[in-house]
Amino acid sequence: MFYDWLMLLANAVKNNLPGEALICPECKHKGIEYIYIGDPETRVGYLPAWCKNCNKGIRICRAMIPKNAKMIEYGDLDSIKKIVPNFEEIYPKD
Amino acid sequence: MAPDGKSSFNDVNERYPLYRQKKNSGVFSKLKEPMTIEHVKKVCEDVGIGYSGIKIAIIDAPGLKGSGFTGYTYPDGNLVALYLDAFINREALIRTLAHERMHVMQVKLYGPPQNSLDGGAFENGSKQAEVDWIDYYHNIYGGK
Repeated sequence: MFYDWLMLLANAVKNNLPGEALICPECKHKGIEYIYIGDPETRVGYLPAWCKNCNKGIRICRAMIPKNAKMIEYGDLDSIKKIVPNFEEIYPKD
Repeated sequence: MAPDGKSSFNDVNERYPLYRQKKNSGVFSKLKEPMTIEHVKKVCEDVGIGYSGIKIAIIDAPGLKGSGFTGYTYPDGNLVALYLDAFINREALIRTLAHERMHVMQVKLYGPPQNSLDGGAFENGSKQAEVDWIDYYHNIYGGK
């Protein structure tokens, strides 16, 4: 299931798709949230993504952040707490 | 066979040169760093990033190309996955290896992050590790 999420997100970020259009690989409901958290200078960070319905998701460890993509700065803990829920993280299986 | 009876080949890689891919081909041809475990291990050795006992997997799904995703550490810290965009150039590969190596240490010490703030703290630590290793690389090799 992790790789379903991974490919879904890869396609979304490459084509700048809104999360509302994405279908959750877990519960099949429409509506995924994703937002980069990173360094605005280097444009490198990580990417949490979660389903608004079932609250499951993944976190891409290291990602280059496209220009104009929505992002939160690393140190902005208030925004991270406010925007990113404590979703159930899906891990890849060996 | 050389006249003295010894093999004229120096090592197994010279006998089977096809196993020693130096350039990527096909859809991967624009990625400058060869997508082989041998190459990744050589880079680790050159830069001093210790991956002993840690498995490395190269995830070569073409759909990941251009995503900007470069790496992922499994929650038990035993496996690091490298995605295609880690291979766009040497610096990206070193930064990714350094970043994920720090995650390995973090999850071995503390387990996988339990919430978004823990995850952020892990990522911040790994970001700092990248800087140290890339600085070392630039100092030793002049960034080449």
